[in-house]
Amino acid sequence: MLAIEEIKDLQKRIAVADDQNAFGQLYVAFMPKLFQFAQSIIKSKELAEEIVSDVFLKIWQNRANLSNIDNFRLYLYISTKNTAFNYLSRHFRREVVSLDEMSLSLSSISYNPEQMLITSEVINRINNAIAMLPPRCKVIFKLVKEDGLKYNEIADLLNISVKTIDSQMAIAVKKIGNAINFDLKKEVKPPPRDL
Amino acid sequence: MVNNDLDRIWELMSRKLTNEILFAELEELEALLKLHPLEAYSLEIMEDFWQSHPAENRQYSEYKYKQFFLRMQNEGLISKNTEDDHEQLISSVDNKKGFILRNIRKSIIAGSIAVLSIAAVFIFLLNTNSINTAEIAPNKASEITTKNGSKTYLVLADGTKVWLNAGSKLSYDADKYGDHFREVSLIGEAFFDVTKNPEKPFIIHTSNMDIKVLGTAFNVRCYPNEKKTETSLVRGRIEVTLKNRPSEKIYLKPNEKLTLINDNIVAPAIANNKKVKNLIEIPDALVTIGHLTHLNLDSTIVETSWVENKLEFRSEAFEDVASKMEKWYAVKIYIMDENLKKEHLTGSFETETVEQALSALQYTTKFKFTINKNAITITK
Repeated sequence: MLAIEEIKDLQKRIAVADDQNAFGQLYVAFMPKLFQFAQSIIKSKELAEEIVSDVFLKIWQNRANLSNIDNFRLYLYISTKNTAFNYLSRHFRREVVSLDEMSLSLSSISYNPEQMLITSEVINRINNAIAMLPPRCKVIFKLVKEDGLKYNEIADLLNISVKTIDSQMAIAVKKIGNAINFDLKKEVKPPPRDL
Repeated sequence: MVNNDLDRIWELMSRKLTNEILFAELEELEALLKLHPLEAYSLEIMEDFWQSHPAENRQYSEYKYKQFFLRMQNEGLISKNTEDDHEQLISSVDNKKGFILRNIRKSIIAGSIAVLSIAAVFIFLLNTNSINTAEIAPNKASEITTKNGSKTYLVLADGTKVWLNAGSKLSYDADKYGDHFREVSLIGEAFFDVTKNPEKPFIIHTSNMDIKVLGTAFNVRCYPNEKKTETSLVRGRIEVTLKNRPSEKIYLKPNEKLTLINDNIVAPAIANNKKVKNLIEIPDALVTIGHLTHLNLDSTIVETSWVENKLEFRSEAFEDVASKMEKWYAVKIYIMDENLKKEHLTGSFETETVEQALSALQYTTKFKFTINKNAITITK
């Protein structure tokens, strides 16, 4: 994930200096996430790829105006959503997709258990808990955790309230927490306590 | 009642993980977690999990960019003869040190919790190599040393404040030091609050790294008998150059700490340690960047607590705690049991004697100790 300042830096280089390298870095950094997001709406790999290409093409074509964009990262997501909705109406004669109809599968965290604090069993439990989240909850969880979006950005992007995001995140964290605790209760290993 | 508590905990936890939490809520969460240790532990695990991200497939997105670049060319958006630029991008993505370092930092932050817990294990491995102290003009050098059990505070000519911890040595050229020359050498541990001077960076030489700063507050721990060199940044920005890798610069952001383990011998031990992840192996050294350890979510930072006359440790191995206590109380501590050395302890002491401190630690960990003058023996 690029830091906010890094994104700002790329935005400026593209807008002011027509910097193709900066544009390439932006593409490489955001393409996979925007692709997943587009796919959750349109549910077609090919169309989702086309959508993301369209978004980046437009950004390059309109690069002179990029400086005016306040939150470039959010702009990328909103452009992806709008382009996806255009595709929906063109290909499926549908205007919008509701949050509950969006579907995506999160990439499982499958890091080397040799190098983790947690056991592979707990990781599996966590991954399963996430996979079982209701669609709305999963979409929000993914955008928060993996894409690093802020609550208010997601609220803008999905036209929902920050309160909804907050309660959905609490549900997700509760389910994951219970998955972890299930394991702990079995092992009954009390945590180190402060004096 | 309990269920209400739990639901509130999950709610506050989700806000904490996503950085959407308010300060008052953070205090509330901390209080609730004291009543629910199991949830407190699962929060730790979840924070670890939260920092882990699925591996990014850069090759895939770079391949996609190649395709996309061709499409842009075909549509006349980018002229054909700029193909070199594209190649340049790919190679700059591959080779640019800054880029790689950023990735390293990312993965390292991910491992911060794990790193902190293992880092402690290595603190007290004795360093058998001789440590070369940084070079300092021999005749005009001014040296400030502290014995074990004592600390000192000094203000340098440019207004930079230095807190020198026990058993440490700070040396600098007293004649030259000032607004135009700001270089010091350090053995041991010190906290620096550096006066801002954009024109003349403040440089600290240690045996295995140089730290360059403009104006900032941070802690350096580089005791020669400890395996680790630690640089903890409280505010500002610092640049670190490793002695054996002069061309590479590592930048630290506030609340990060850089740990250098300077011996090859530890590498296999680390590979076998389950709690380690994301250690970057470079020739002759292991470098990690982690987060500072906050105690009880208040403003106390473990790494710099000694400045406020507090001896703090949080879930650190007994042998590391012993190392800190030796310097703090000017004693020698011998732990006779190998398992005991790895036992993790948490504690905070201000005015307590070493006997009181050890007695307090006995509440959480089972051990016996005998004090004979300055020598303390710890047994099972």
